[in-house]
Amino acid sequence: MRDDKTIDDKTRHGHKSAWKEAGKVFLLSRFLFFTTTCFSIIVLPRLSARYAQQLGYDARWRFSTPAVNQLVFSWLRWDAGAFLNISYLGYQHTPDVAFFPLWPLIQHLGGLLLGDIFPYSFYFVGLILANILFYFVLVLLYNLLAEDFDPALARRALFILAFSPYALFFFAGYSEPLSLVLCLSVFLLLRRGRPGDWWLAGILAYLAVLTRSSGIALGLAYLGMFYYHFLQANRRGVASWRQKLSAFAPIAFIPAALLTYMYYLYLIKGSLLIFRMQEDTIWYRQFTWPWDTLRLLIHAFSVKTSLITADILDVTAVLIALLTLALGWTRIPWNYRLFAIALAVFTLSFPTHTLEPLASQPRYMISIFPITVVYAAWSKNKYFYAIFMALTLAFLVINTIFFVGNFWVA
Amino acid sequence: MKAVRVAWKEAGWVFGLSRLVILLVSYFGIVVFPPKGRSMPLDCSTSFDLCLRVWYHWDAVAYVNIAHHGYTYIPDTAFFPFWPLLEHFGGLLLGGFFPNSYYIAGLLLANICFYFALVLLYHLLAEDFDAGIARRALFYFAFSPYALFFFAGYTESLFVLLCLALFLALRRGQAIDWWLAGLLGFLATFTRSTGIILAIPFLVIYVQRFWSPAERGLHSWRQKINALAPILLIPCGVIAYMIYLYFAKGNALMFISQEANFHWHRQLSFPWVGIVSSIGSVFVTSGVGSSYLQNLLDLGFTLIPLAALALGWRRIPLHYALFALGIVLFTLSFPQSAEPLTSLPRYTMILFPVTAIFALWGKREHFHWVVVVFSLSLLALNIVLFIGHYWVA
Repeated sequence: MRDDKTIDDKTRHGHKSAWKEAGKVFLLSRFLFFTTTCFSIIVLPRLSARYAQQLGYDARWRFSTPAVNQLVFSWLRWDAGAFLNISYLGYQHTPDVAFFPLWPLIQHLGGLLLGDIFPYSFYFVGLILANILFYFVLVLLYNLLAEDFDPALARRALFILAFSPYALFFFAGYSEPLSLVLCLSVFLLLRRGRPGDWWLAGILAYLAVLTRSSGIALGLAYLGMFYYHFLQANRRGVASWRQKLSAFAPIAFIPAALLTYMYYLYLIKGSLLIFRMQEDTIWYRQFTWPWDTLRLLIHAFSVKTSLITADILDVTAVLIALLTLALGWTRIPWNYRLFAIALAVFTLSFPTHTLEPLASQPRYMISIFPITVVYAAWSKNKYFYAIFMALTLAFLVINTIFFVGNFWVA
Repeated sequence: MKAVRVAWKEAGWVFGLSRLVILLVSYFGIVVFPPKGRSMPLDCSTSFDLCLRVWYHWDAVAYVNIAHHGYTYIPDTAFFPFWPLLEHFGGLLLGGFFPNSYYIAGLLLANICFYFALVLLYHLLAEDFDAGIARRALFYFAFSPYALFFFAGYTESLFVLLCLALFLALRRGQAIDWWLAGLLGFLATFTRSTGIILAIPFLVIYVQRFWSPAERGLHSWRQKINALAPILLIPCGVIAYMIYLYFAKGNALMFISQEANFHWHRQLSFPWVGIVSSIGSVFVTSGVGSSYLQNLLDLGFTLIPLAALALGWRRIPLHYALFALGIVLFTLSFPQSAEPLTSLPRYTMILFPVTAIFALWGKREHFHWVVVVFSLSLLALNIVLFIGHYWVA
């Protein structure tokens, strides 16, 4: 009885720390985005007419003062615009079907609550929800890592994630925070592994796939945890067949999410696979074997265009992520490894057949949280930590300046 | 011996990392933003010379000019001579081509001086405080929001190196060290007029070493005079420059008249005049334009060190605190007429006692991260501005 109470107290204390630690990192990172945005809006247009022009590019909805207008709409860029349109108009614009529906659906409901005024309600709700969800990402990540590793590593991981070079996508109205919060919840539930947890994990994985197709990678983590709880030699006889079946069945939610979206598309557009076709024809994103991706890259580097800097950055970001995973392979549990490798392989299998083959890949990589864990483990060495944070912070500021100025980042 | 090796190592990695960050941010600044007066960003494959000179702006140009042709342009007399003199010799060693040899010599010298400044800062703080604080201080110093001026061919690196060397010499306090400190004080004053403030820590340490109740009877009069006399070398830096100006230009006080009359319009005032005037401009200016933000930043980076000094006064040795206060009051006493606190953030960034206070507070992890995030993001933005030939400080 006393032991139970001690464990409960410890857990409660752990949860409290998670909220507190996440809160501090969250506020500090939001402060960085706010100040960098203000600076970008007020000072940087002096540097370049092009930058000033870019700032106003997407501001179709005007406030009377241009500076206020630019400040307010400074994060309405790229995919945020697509999600905004879907949340208000649905999939009227067919190429938008490439964006999976859960995030714009939530944005739609939130927008209705905020008065249903286009674009303000939907845009603001996207920003607010993305940030709230990112706060939960930090809380869950802390909880997961504090238990799987230790609180010090968990604290470092929060900083590393919140200030990673592409962490601005956890601030913009993108689907990354929602996708990651769902993945982390699934991980936490699968680790606990009580009977109801498997079903809840299945439902959350269903939602994760409805947010991004890459959510399918959770299937491998699910299988791994099922093996851990039920099929390992020392646990094989512990659970009944009924319990095993009850825990295994919810994995069906994962493909079911894909089928749900396909069925919906069939109803509204008459084609089950229209999202794949749109990805193919509009974004030139196709399934590609790794050696063909390499060929695409060689071609992109051989043709001297203005995209060369973007290519260098994409390749560097992806290589660093993969190298980190390879070098830190033994430092993370096997369920983390399975998830990371599945997600990396899935996203890298769909490069764009353009002169920027790895476009967006650095952004996709930030959802592979086990990579963050490896960095956090290495960051026990204070020199590594300082060097790492100095470089990522500098890149984060640069990327934020570019994003606010409507330049392509990822 | 081990302590020396640790200082070189600690300074080395902070130095290397900060240079890497500055170069990376510069690269992206060049690639995306056109420099002032151009419509397109620079293409380094076709205009390498222009890319090379992205750090050749503002005072760096004035120093290169002085280094090459001396004080032929009268307003340049506002810049004290030691730094351009070093640049002159460095430029000659690099071939004497104007402006590149002098400009590159300026960059190299500034960075070498800054590396040594970091080594000395570590030495000083590791002994006066502890190794953890010294390490943090190096990081804060090298990544402070205006630390780009330790990279550019400005006087800041040399000046802070001389100040730190003087502090170390004073702390050791052997007979010859007082003369060494005097000589360093002379060179510091020969670099910037604010060097004169070094007389304050000199005097404080002297009194503590020779006139405190415990020490008073331990030293002979000869020792006391030998230690005090070198303080006279500190103002000699200004006097030497005045004599030079008298012979070269016929007016010993020409540097003051140029600061007052040329576009700087800096005149002696009470220290609070600039602050009050700056606060007034913040409230009077309508709209949030870039000059408003510039004013706000100047004011903020004047008040932050002052507030830190007030709050952390008791946590640092007296000579640190008085030196920092002296520098702030001295620089505040010469505000500009148009933008009263312009350049103040650059002048106050050399205040290593304030850095020491931040490093003490940085023991708390969250404070540490607030400082790192805030400083690094502003540093990156300031670099982008500076290399685009926009005014920073």
